[in-house]
Amino acid sequence: MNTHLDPPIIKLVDVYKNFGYRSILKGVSFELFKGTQTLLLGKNGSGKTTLLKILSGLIHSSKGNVLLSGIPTEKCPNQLRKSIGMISHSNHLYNELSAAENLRFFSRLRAVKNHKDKINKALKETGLMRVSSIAVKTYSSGMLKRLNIAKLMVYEPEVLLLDEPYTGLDYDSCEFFNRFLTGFKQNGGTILMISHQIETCFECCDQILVLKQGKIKDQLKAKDYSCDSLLQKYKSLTV
Amino acid sequence: MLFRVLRLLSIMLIGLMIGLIFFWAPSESSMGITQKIMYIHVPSIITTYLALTIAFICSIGYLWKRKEILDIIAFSAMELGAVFCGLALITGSIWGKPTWNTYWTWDARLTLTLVLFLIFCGYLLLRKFTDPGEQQARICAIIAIIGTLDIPLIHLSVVWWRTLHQTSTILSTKKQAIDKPLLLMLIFSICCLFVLFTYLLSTRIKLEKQNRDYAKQVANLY
Amino acid sequence: MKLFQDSITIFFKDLVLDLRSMENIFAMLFFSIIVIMVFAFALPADDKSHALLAPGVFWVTFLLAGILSLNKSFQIEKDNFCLESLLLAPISRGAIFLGKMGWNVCFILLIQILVIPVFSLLFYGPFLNNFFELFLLSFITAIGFSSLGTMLSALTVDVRFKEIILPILLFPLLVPLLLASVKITQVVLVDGSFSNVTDWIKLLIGFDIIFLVVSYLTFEYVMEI
Repeated sequence: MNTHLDPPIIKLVDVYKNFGYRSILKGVSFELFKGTQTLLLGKNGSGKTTLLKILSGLIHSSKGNVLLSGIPTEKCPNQLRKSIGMISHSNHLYNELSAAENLRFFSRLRAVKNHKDKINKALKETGLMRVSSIAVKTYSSGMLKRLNIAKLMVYEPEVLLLDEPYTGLDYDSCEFFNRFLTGFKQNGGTILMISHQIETCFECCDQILVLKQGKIKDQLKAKDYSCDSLLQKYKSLTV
Repeated sequence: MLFRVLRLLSIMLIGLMIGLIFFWAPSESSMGITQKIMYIHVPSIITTYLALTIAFICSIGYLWKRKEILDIIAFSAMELGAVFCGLALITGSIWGKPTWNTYWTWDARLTLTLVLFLIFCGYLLLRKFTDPGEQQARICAIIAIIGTLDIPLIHLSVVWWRTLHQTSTILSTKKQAIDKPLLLMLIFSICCLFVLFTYLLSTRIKLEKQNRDYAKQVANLY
Repeated sequence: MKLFQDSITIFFKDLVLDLRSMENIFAMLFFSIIVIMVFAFALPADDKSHALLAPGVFWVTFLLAGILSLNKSFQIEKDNFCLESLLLAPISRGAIFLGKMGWNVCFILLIQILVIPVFSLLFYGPFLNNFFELFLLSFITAIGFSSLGTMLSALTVDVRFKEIILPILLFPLLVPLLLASVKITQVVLVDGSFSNVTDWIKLLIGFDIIFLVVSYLTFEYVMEI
């Protein structure tokens, strides 16, 4: 349970990002605390995915600082990568490898201890044990998402960055995913999620950030709003 | 002000150089008037290497400091390097016909100067095929660094490969490899071309900076 | 230590991917055969000409087929954005380079084991008499080729017309490698050993070392997105 007296686990200070000659992010600053879930809203092309990629260390900011537990991420890139787990639109899986092989490969790179047991456990919990030796190219989109969740279960990161995680998931899979996120938060994990499906994820959110024209326009506490009032306020940003 | 001075100086020096080549520098005993193209050919190739060195240093500087001006200088130097390298190849071919009875031969130094020209062209093509920005600057910086590191191998292959090319006379330790008036003319030509290169480089940098500033303004209108 | 462990993990991942589908191996092998066939048609058909031209034809075939292997090297990472996955892992960029380069070397050598006899059959018979020397030469050449090629392949992964720009950038840089390989092959076919071409061997090894080190050091910058 975060009291907000603890220092933030991730802090962005005046972050800018240019692609070519276009400025995508123009001075973004916010903090993420342990055990909290933050929803990032914004129109298409507002820079949400770019922001997530900067937080994950995939791309560098053009200006500004990203701090992980107070340390600039340029000074501890591997520590940042170890702490971050990411789910995005794309699968990030090798099509010709099986589920088990994909998990083994990525857990070896992350030097996960007892990875065999963790992989078996993750595959059982995500319901993929029966198909774990079949090539991933035959999986449905729901199964691929569950495999990505299994990856996160094996890695046990401290921070989850989720880019439209509910896309392609049926009702049961959404429920399963929400249960996973709740358990993750209860264990002290931090979540930053991009989603246009406010109704699906609102209940678990602690903070809502609205990105507009490259800046954080609004920073709201979820408890001050109901789902309906939020939907009304940000109708154009939802599905 | 500085641009005007450089422009004036370049025009004057190039004019003087051409005048001296045709009206002062004596003809070489064996090659005759053909030899005079050496006063363009040799300075061109030296300027090419100067351009490549500037691009190399600025490319390393860009990867280290990520300052856009370093990318602009590197790009401008590579562009001019391509021009001077092309000039060296053309003047070399013109010199080659009466001297070796062929416009082109696969002599090692000629071949590898052609390779250097292709490296320049590859760099410029890469610029065209990538969108402007940090990624383009970074990728092109790496290519410039790698291309420059090829130079020792070019130099090495001159010694080992059969060659028709004139061996180095300016830096030769043999006495009287080149007579004094011809040597003076050559050194003067090199200086003139360096001044021309400096003017062209500074103009190109200024132009590129203006282009990028304009492109940034347009890109951020939306 | 972790650097080598990660490199080996990536190496074996690429090995499994290529050996499981086999399509890349067959594609490269058939492409090599087609190139040899084209040269056989385009060049004079007598044994004397073939003896003179064989080293050049062999190494041009090597380069053209090698480009295919480099193109596919990072293409498999682009599919499903697996490259992002690799970059999100807490591993050094050098490990990615070494793993990929290592497999590219092995892949090229695997093809060469098959191409040398095929070349001997279709173009110039005596090639097979010096199989070991040519294989060893292929190994030394493959290191330089793969070092530079892997780095440039990663560099151009997001560039337009990548299949065109990669050879445009790579081939001029490989000229010293090509010259050395052809010269050494010419002598090996006559003498059967490397004893008279030690200078060229040194050039080749020097090229390998320079571009292996430079590619490793610059890969950090190459892998920024």
